[in-house]
Amino acid sequence: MMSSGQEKRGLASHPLMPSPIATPVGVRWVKKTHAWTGIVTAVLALTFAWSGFMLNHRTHFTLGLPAQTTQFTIPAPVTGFASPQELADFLDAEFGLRTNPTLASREATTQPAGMGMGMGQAPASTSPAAAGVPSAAAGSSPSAARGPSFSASWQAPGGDFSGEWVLGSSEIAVTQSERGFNRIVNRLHSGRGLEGGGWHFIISAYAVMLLFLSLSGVMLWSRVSGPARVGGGLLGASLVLIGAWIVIGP
Amino acid sequence: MVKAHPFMPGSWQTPTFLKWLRRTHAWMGLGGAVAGVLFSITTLFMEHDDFGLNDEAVPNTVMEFAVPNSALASYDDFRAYAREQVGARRSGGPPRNFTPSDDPLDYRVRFNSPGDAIDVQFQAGDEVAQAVRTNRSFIDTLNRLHRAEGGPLGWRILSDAYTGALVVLALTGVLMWSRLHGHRLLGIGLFSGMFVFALYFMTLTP
Repeated sequence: MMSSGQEKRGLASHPLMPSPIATPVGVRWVKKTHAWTGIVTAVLALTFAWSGFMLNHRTHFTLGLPAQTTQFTIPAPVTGFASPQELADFLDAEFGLRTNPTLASREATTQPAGMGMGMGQAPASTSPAAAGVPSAAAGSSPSAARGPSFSASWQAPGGDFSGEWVLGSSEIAVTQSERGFNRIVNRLHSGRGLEGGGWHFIISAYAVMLLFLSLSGVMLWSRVSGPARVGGGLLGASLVLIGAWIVIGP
Repeated sequence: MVKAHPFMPGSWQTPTFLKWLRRTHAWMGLGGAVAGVLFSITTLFMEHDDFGLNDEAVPNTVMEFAVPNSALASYDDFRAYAREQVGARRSGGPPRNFTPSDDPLDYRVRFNSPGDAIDVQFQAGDEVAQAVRTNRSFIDTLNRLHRAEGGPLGWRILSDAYTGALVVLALTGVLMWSRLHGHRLLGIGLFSGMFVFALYFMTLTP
């Protein structure tokens, strides 16, 4: 048991601090850790607060321009690609991509009825040269029939990049998009398209630090801030309010 | 002049302003503390598959009720009647991306909330209207509050207040940083370290 004098002093200056921690050493530790955690997360707090505000109203308005998308084709090497990985390596070397690609290998799409091309031709012709013909049309009308294809796509907060190569074709269809600042921070907030990076660790770490800041902040409530009863009342009121939204039904 | 608060302009460092700063930080912090706990815990839930605490699916509840012709005069009549039948508290409305149609008759009403949701459907040729209640677990409800899904207007406003408070807390917190907390350079280092780190991800292109 600690001396009652120490305990009283701690409780008197910080009425919402639990008594086991409310010693001069305990209070100083909580204060210092709160300050250090706060300064580490200040930038994240601003980022998540701003994007949180935008996401809170995402069904009503979106700030920032939609992603700007450009599409073009680049010539494929004559030897073609044996796997989606080879396509990814080629695009990586060509465009200097920074993130990890998602690879896919697609089956041939069937031709919708009523299109102008010969019905017997597509399944019969397996030579690369013949397969390349429908791929040229595929660039302009995605619903047209085409052979099996490899694709590789890259995602990043700043934009997306994808390349698709129809087996045997002489060119690669590239889609590139760029996002503005507001859309970037919204993506960072929700962590979409950021698999494999260090960002998900940051999200979790920030959550833990925010939890600590919230709890230690309550403990650090002091006489200077206001009466303990009013402070505790505000805390209780927000708890009840949020609790009400949790339990109310549709 | 020796500055006790290295990140605050010297002319601001008056006892009155410091007191005001501390009080603002304290009141906003206490006001947002519960929200801080809610948003941080749900972040961890969503990032880590609810820590495996939420694996059991809660089954939906289905109920049916007859619809008199008077309730089919208009979409609003149907909505009011359905609300009465399912005992919904909120007034309900068409689900997202759905437009009710009178001919052929196709009415759908959703009564949403952070927790459960009730979807009522009645189409031309149906004998009875069908109401499906989506029952959500406690953790799902918390996560939905975080994402403001099915959230009432009051909750959206409160979350806005919380984001505003978070901005003020971050700024006043940096201003209040004092020599007692630690060395100024280490503070600057940590702050800019995180700034550069965040900037890296903000400028990350594919």
